Amino acid sequence: MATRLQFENNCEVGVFSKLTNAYCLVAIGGSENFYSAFESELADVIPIVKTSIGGTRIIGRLCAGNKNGLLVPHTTTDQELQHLRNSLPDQVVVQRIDERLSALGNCIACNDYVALAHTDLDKETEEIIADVLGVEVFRQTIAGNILVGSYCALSNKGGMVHPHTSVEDLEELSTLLQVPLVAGTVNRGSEVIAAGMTVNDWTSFCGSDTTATELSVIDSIFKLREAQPSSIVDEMRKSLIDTYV
Amino acid sequence: MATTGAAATTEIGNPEYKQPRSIFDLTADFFDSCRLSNPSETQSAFGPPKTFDPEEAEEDKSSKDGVILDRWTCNTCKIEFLSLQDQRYHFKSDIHRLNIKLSVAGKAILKEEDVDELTSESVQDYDVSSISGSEDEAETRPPSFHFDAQKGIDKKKLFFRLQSGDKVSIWKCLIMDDAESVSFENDRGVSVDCCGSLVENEVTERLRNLIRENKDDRQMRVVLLASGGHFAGTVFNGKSVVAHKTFHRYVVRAKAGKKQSTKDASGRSIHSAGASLRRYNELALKKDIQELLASWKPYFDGAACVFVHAPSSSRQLLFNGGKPYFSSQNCAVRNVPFTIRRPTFKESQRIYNQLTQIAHVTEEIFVNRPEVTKANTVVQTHNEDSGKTSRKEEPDETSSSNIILEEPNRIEEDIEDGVTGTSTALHEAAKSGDCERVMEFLEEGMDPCAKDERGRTPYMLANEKEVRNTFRRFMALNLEKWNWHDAKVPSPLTKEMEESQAAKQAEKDAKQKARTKELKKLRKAREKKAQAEAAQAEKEKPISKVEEVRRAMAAQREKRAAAAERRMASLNIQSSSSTS
Repeated sequence: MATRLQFENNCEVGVFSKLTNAYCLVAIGGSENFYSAFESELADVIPIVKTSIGGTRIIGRLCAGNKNGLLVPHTTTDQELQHLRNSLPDQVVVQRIDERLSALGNCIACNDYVALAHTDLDKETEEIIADVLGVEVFRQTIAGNILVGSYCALSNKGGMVHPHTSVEDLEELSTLLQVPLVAGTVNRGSEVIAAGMTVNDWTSFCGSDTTATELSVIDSIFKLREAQPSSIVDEMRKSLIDTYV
Repeated sequence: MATTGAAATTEIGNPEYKQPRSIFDLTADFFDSCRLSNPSETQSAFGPPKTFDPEEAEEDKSSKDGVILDRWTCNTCKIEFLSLQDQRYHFKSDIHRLNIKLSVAGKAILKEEDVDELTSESVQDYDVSSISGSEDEAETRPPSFHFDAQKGIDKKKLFFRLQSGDKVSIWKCLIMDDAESVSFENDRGVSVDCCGSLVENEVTERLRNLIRENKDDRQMRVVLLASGGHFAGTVFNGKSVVAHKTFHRYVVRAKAGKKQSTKDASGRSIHSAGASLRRYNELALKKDIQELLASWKPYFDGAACVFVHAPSSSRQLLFNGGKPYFSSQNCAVRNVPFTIRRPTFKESQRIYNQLTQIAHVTEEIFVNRPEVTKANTVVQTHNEDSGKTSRKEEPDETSSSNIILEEPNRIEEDIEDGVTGTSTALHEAAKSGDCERVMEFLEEGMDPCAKDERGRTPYMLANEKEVRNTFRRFMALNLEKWNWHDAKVPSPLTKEMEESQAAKQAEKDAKQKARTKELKKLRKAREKKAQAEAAQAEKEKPISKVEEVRRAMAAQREKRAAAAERRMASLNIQSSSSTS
């Protein structure tokens, strides 16, 4: 079930958080309301880590990750890196990347099996993405935009892309990624999908400006209603055991 | 050599029927009774194409069914795939990445999309592999360059017509040295004098020997690539790799490009830490390569040929050294005839596979229509020019007819004097400012309406006023003789007008004189006032002197009075003391 919330009167919740199937990162903020919303939804199953990256709170746009690993830019300090490694589960590899395009969240869109990457990323970075995250990397644009990480949100169940994506491109991407895709918006018509929402296989968080119609599209495409009971039992067994032990 | 008709060949490899095959996979009798064809000859196609095998037909059907069931496409490159693996492989390739960048760049590149399609098709046949490292810039490929590249490729290839009627091509460097060339039947008269040319039979024999290598002892071939601080060397035996080695050192100047030695050769020497690093790296890279070549000497002794790609300064890495590694007579050094990417092991494999490939050729003959079109254009231009010429003549006729109509009595004189567009003696007289000559020519009957090469009448050339007045006086005396409007003379000048002008001038002069007199009077008056003031100033001076004298005397008087008072006071004191 999608939840609506905001971070210090800002509805771009995807900028200040990063949600995957194995962990959740939340920005360090002055108010506990943002953190509490994540806690109420996720505290039972996955760890929620308060962190900053490079001294900033826009962690959702600076890092890219899935259940296998987390990629952070070269601006990350050693203390932050150590804090992340201490807080995340052991199977999650935290890797710092020396890449000139340091906003990795804007350049990479990934789930647990495939990733779309910015066309100007280096080959070395592409290989690191493939190794750390355990994904196949494809170079692609979305509706003519090269910032693929900003204009689409992916999970293992489905994905949402820029509203101006053509039907042919939608079908092609759906075939390539092997998940159903839909064109939609968040935050009352904003086409920057990843900035306004964050999603994993069983839950999603959107900005408070998101309308009920947009929420229904999100629930439908990411299969958030059907997936909740079975995903806890089946897919998150390792995380459950890891948390309680 | 006169080439009659150009025949351009395009390599379109049909992946299912005529896929390019390696020369080592052919049967021994593949090139039996084949003929080496001259690329300059225009030949029609041999008989209809063959009927294909039923197995291939079945493959075709299965592929069609696959396409119908599920579409695997790339909308950016406009390509369809047979399976999901092919689609994913394409999405990871460099061609797709390049095409995305081109499409994002805008519509201007859409025309080159067709070139990219051709390039992607041809390159796809040769199995493009992703190279390591980053590609910072997307390369744009203009169509004309592509066409020229095709022509260049045709010169570097040999074309054979098999007994089955198919036409195949191989790279020339596979069986011939760089210095050797082929002499065809048409050039036999010329080839007697040439030394380095081969006859057709010799070329064909070499090709058969190459194919025979499959069964007998195979010779090795070496591929050496060196460029921009990268080096890749590979030894092949048939299709398998015997040995390979790659080097990479920091040699190219960051953000500035070119090697450090190239920069040093341009004059100034740089002493930064980076420059020192690059110089050391160049020496170390050269040392590494030469050690490798020394250790590979057994391979060079047993190799048939060495394919080398080492542009400009990279050539020194391979050939500049004390020990000659390529001196063996059995080993021939040949240049790679096409451009390569960054030297890597994969790249050397790709190049070797491409060099040892036999490609089937589809022939296309161009008709000479562009020349006909050009001829039509030339004819149209000529017609336009003649039209312009006819238009220019019309206004001249009109003006000359007007002159004739207006002056019927002076036809003879017009014919003699009025040559349109020619400067006359009257023009020269007016220009030089000679009034007497102008009057003489006018009285003799010269036409003041005549125009010179630039369409100017004699009056227009008169610079001095007196010359222009001469024209006007003659106009006053002979108003009906010429068309003075055409002669551009504005108005006649009569004696009365001259007298009135003189009177006006006299009045002006008188006024000026009067004004001058008044000014003089004013000046004199001012001078007198000045003198009076000066005199007054002089009178005042003695007055002031008198006052000064009076003041001085007053002061003295006061002093004497004071002295007298003192004397009287002293006298009084003496008298008072005597009384007491």
